[in-house]
Amino acid sequence: MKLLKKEDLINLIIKAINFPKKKYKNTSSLNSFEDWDSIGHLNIMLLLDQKLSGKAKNIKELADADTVEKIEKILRKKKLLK
Amino acid sequence: MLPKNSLKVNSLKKNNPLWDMKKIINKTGINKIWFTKNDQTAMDLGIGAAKKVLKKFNKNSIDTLLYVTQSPEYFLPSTSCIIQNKLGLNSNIKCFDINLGCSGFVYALFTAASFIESKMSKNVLIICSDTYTKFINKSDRTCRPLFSDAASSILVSRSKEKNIGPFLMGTDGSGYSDLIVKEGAGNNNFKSKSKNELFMNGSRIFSFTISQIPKNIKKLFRIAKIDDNKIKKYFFHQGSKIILNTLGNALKIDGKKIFSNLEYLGNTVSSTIPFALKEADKKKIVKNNDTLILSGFGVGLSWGSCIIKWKKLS
Repeated sequence: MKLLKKEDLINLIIKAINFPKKKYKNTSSLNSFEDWDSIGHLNIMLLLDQKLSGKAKNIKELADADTVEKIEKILRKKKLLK
Repeated sequence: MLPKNSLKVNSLKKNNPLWDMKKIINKTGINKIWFTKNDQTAMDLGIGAAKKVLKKFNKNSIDTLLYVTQSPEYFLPSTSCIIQNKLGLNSNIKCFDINLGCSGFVYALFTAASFIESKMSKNVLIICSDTYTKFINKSDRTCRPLFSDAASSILVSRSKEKNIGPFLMGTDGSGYSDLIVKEGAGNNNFKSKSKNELFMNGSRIFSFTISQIPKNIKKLFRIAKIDDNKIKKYFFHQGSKIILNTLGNALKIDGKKIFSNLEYLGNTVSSTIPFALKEADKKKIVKNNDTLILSGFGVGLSWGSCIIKWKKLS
């Protein structure tokens, strides 16, 4: 399994929460996007799990990671992000 | 047994204009939910469900009553004792409440099967009943479109063949606060600062489900020395459509093998599995001797799965 890049993570989140890609400037714009709600978060977790070949489901901390930076930190700690 | 009152989930938009109903319904798969009013309790529903079963069965043969609820009539006594009296069951029976939610039916079945196997019981009446809507804030976007009030009842009887089991249960109390009614009980000296409202951390519950349940089912297969090919149908607790779909993908099960009827019932807590079994039986989707998986999981965090051979009492 290839390690995820930060760029991949951002694109995944953009897709999961239906963020208009043209409006993306930085991660803050994703963090504060209204569609990153509980349903959006479930989509992020699902897509991450698919991308990481099923490894994301066992990472409990992801359930509470409500910003790009928090997710990034967790994945780096688990050696799943470059 | 459902209460008389229901509403279409779409209609919640009226009092919650900022809710994206299309997105909510798409994820939950629930179009209709059912609710009790002030004059009806979980016990009332439960008694109603039990009476339907007892129309076809001699109540004097019941030697055990298990009442699964998290909406008790009183903190004490056990509601099952009150039900024993109201149903006119013999006084020499065992009865107690099981304070579990979405795993409750499987735990009750486990208890019934254990009692029967140890020859402590012959005929066990299980009643599941909850009125979660009474705990839910009307503007709670996580819980309001999801939960329904309902009750179900099933009779488990001793037979010559062993049709129930094996079971595989589990608990993770570190997640106790992920689905909780915090106030009104011992932790607050039985007082409430605000209304006793249900709180659910949807992400954590989802994460728990997709990490634990596939492992649990796979281990159950190993214990029973069978595989998916032998299973006619899966009856998961129907928390939401997204959970059923994700479990199906994780276990690589054909989606058609997962029974679902939550669209017009909602999440009826411990009754989702019995309601599903009843409908599947009525529609002849399951027949006698079919091998089924039952799996309940949720509040606690608690989970339990089992394999049964469907054998309806004639």
